Amino acid sequence: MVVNFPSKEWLIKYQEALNGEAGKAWQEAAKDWEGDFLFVIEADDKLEKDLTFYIDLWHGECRRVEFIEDPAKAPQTEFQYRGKYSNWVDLIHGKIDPIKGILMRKFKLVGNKAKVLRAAKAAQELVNTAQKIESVFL
Amino acid sequence: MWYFCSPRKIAFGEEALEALREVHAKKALVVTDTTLLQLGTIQPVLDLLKEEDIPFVIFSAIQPEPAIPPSREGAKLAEQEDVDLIIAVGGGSVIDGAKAIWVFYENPDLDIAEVFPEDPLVLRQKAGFVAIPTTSGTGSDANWAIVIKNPETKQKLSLAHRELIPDLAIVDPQFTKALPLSLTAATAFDALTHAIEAFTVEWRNDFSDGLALQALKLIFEFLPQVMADKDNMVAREKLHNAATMAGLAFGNSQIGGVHALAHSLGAVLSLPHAQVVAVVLPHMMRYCLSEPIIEQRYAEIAYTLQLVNTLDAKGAHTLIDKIEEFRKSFDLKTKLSDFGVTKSLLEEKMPLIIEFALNDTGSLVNPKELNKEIIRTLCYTMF
Repeated sequence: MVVNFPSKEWLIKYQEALNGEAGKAWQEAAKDWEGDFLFVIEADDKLEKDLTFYIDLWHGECRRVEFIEDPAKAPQTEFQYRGKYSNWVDLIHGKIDPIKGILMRKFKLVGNKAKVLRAAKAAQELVNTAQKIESVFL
Repeated sequence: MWYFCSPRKIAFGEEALEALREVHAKKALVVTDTTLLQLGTIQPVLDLLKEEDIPFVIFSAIQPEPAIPPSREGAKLAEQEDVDLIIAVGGGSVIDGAKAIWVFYENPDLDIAEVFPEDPLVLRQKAGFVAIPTTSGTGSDANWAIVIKNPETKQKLSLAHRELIPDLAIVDPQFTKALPLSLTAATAFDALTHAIEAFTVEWRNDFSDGLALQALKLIFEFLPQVMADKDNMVAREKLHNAATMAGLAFGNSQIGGVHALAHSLGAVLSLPHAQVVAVVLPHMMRYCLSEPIIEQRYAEIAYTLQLVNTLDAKGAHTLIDKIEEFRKSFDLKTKLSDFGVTKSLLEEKMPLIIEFALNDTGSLVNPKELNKEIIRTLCYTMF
């Protein structure tokens, strides 16, 4: 089923993918990972307002997701990865990788960066899994 | 958007050490290792500092494959002596270890693993930094990287920050004059790998491409000349320049899967970096060859080096064959078992080798995706 990005439906599909067959490589790479994220998709000329995905990742399992329309209601998380909508599209299409995105200042990572760097493969597989979702973009 | 970063100044060629006279300092910390100290390799630096009336202290406790604790000790010495200049004289281990001293000296409470390119890093408040490479391999004299071992986790940390680029790199061939041929060949293979990876990883760019290709031309032309005549200082100078150019290339692009796996094997099995790089290089190149863009890029290198007359796929294979021929002719190790690694040790350590290799940033930007099975297969193929 094709789903719109970004949407609540996309986020649910993403959780299913991470926990399912499509997420096998991520599950393996993230088997020791403990930490939750806010993925903040910032408004640009295509997206009207900021949207936030809450994603709780724990030992190779995506335990919980939440689609947050009001950024003020976002919970405190260990990490935040944020960037403009068009940059998220480039990331999902594999045009940039999650670390280069930061170095190009297209994304900002808030939290213990050393912990994320030590789990570079898991970060890459998070993106690879997102690429497996049949998505429609704005 | 991307950046090109380099030292403010690179002095190269015969008598490049004279550039150190331009540096003003009230006291210097000279960082090196015990071998270079005993051999007298650093003596020209000490003589020049004396001539310029710059007092100095020497810290020579940096070990091959540097680890965090000696650098913390070096920072304590820097603090006690209140130095305002750090001069690293050595190979990659010394320069990386000295960079870590610099970080700890200026940021005593920092966990070095937290150094991250886009975060602030305070440097140059207490000291400037000069790098004088004594091998033609590392490239650390010209770029933003530190590779340092965390003895607690055994992992080699690959850290990078633009502030870590030395203020001055002195690429003077006199410092390689006494370098044994075995080390000359091994470190040159490290430089060769820097250039090949800079030219092929996902982060390659126009600036790094140019430097990488010229570095490769110099290495292919002048490494055999040095190996044939270790006193050929013209060839040594060209090789030395090539290593720094390759360092600039990968510092502004990235290293890839060869270094990711070599870092991991080096850390887990305690293998010397440059030699293990030479073992991994052709295997990783063959693995990446099935990516059409990489076949094309290898072919472009082969064509530039005039190994072939036409720009086609044949060149890619010729390049890898030539690298293996080089490796053999220079008596470099070709297998992991050449280091005394046993199959049972390899099997026992395989989970850690895989974990470290896949989580090295070099894996992230490798032109062909790496996974657990591929790392395992490569390790057994290299055994």
